[in-house]
Amino acid sequence: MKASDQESDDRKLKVLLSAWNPSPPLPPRFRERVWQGIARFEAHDRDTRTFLMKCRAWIANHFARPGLAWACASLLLAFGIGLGWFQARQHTTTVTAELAVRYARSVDPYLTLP
Amino acid sequence: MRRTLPILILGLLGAVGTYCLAYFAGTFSSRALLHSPQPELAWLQHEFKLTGQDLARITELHAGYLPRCMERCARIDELNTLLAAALHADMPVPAEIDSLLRERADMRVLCQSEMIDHFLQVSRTMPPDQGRRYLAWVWDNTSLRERPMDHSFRDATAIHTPGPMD
Repeated sequence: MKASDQESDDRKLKVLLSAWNPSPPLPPRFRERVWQGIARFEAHDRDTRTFLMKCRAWIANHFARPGLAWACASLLLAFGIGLGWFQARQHTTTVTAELAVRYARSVDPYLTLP
Repeated sequence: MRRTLPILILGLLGAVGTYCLAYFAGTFSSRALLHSPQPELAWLQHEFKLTGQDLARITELHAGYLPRCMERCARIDELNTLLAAALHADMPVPAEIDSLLRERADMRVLCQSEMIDHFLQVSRTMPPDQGRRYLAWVWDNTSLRERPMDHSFRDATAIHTPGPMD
């Protein structure tokens, strides 16, 4: 076979291939299966999201406005002060009672504690 | 989201910070009491609003009272041991037991009498109103006010006297 003949055949084949537009039949319920796959992927994504991501999403949903976030931060500060003050009072009361007993016992050997 | 998350984190950190601040500020006085050289006397100064001079005088009285008190306690312990030995002897001697009981009771009276003297001296060192408060406090919180006797046992085992209806 001559080289020029081979070149001509290649060109013809190329033209033929470019003109060929096959449309094979889709497998049965193809569209339905694609949608089911997408749904499965979304469900898996939802389950495997990290806790942090869920928190971020929750915060984004509930504290969309910075004003609300500032209000919440102020409440947290007030809670911190309140709890600290309350526990300090409890500590002071305990220490005071303990020292009072220590004083009483130091001066009164007959003191029996319940 | 970009703005709200830092605000909330700031709020949380602030809450922890203010908690620590409030706790340490609130416990400052009690921690100072605990770390003083004589915490119970520091408590007395704090509770009865005493001046440094009052406290110095009370510390002196306290230091003078304690050795005498310990001396009496040691003697009472000694008498308790002797009394136990006398009671557990093969032939207990009632006169000896009686004498030991009397001596122990006398020692207790002496001990309580010295204790009251000490309380009175301390109360006189304080401003009058605080002195009265102090005496009320020692009455409520020391053995001066004896606990009421328990009569429930006697009531529960009271002999039933049959009445005319029985």
